[in-house]
Order: sequence, then C-alpha cells, then structure tokens
Amino acid sequence: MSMTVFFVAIVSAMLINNVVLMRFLGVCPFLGVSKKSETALGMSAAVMFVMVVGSILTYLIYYFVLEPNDITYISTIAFILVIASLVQFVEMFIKKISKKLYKALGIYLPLIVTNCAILGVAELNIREGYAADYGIGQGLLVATTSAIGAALGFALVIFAFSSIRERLDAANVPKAWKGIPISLIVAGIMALAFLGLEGIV
Amino acid sequence: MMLPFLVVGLIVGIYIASYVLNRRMEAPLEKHEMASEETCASCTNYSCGIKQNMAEER
Repeated sequence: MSMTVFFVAIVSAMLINNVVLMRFLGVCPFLGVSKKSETALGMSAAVMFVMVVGSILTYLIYYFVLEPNDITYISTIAFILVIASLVQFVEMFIKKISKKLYKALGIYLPLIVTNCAILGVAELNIREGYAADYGIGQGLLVATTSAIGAALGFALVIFAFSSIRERLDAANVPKAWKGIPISLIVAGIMALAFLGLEGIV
Repeated sequence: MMLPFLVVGLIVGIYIASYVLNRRMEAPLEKHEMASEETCASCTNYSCGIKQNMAEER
C-alpha cells in the first residue's frame, strides 16, 4: 500500500469532507466553544485525542466482535457507549498522570461525549469499507489516518472560526446581526470556501 | 439470540464502572479552569449544563 492512500485519506478528511463544514457534524462545539481561541484550541486537542483513539477502538470492536457474530445492527449503540466509556477512562487517566494536561483538556473532555463528530467519524470509517479494500489490518491504518485528518479538519475550522469571532467582537456589526447571526453567516461563508476544494482528490 | 443483549449489557456495565471510578477519583480542582459562562451561552446541550452545575458548586 502506497503512501498516497494515507495522503489522500488525510487531505480528504481534513479539507474536502470536513466534518463540520461539509458533513455538518459537531456543530454544537463549533458554535459553543469558539468564542475564544484558547477554548477552541483546548476543545480541538481533546477532540483530536478521543476521535483517533475512539476510531481505533470502534473499528476493532466492529470487525472482531460485531461482524463475526452478525450483530452489526447494534453498532451505533455500541459505538456511543464505547466512546462514552473511553472519555471516562481518558479523564481518569489524565487526572492520574498529568495535572497539567488535565488543566488543558479536563473541562472539554465531558463535552466530547455529546460531540456527534466523534461518532460520525467512527461510523464513516466503517461505512467507507476500508477493511474490504485493504484488509482489516491495513484498513485500520487507513481508518486511523482518516480519523487524524478529520480531527485536524475540526481543529483547523474551529480555530479559524474562533479567530474570526474574536475579531468580530471588536468590529462594528449592526445590532441585529451581533453575536450568533453574524457567526452563522461567517460559518456559511467558510463552508462555501471549503466547497471550492471539492474535486481536488 | 441473546448475544446482542449481552454485548450491549457488557458495554453498559463497562460504562457504569468507568463512570463510578471516574467520579470517585479526586479531581485536581485547583488546577481546573472553569469555562466562562459566555462560552456556554450559545450551547444548550447537556454537557454545558454539567459545566454550569460545577461552577455553581464551587
């Protein structure tokens, strides 16, 4: 398997099929935690970590537990529970090993349980059929790369959006448009900009 | 026939156990930076409610 596959997976998940602007997943944290760049960065780091580990775990559970026993129809509920459990374990682990990391990520970890982008990426990795194309082992590598790309895409978009919102706070915006209305217009323009990347890969 | 229920039950059990263990573990609160209310103003989901409750407890 060539490196092109991984490159395409990253670019595709990060820019062309961006989870927030093209698939409309994880819109709540996109709007809710993007008032300041600091909070956006903290949320991005937490999402990145859980998205990648969650994708690996759900992929393994799907192909080693659900599919062999022909119970793939419970994948959604199983993935939700796995992600929720993973967040609890990650929080515990961080509490134990690094207070500094807990300070940086701690407050954003519980928010991730309700972030549908995590579940969406886990489901997409299965639906894209990487295991059928590359085998279960190499498929896992491609799925992980795709999850890293999706997480980077989430981080890129939420950080760019938070930077724009910070500048908008100081801008002379008409009263009726202040706050959420102008933010939604900005999000729409950003989505249009990402639409321009369609067809690159 | 019972396998789906067993799998879901097992994962629910793992979730409950992880939740209880996480709750029992002391959080380094002095290091815990609470997000400002502004950051939660446009988000009305459940987890934002948790943050607000934590802020009230403090």
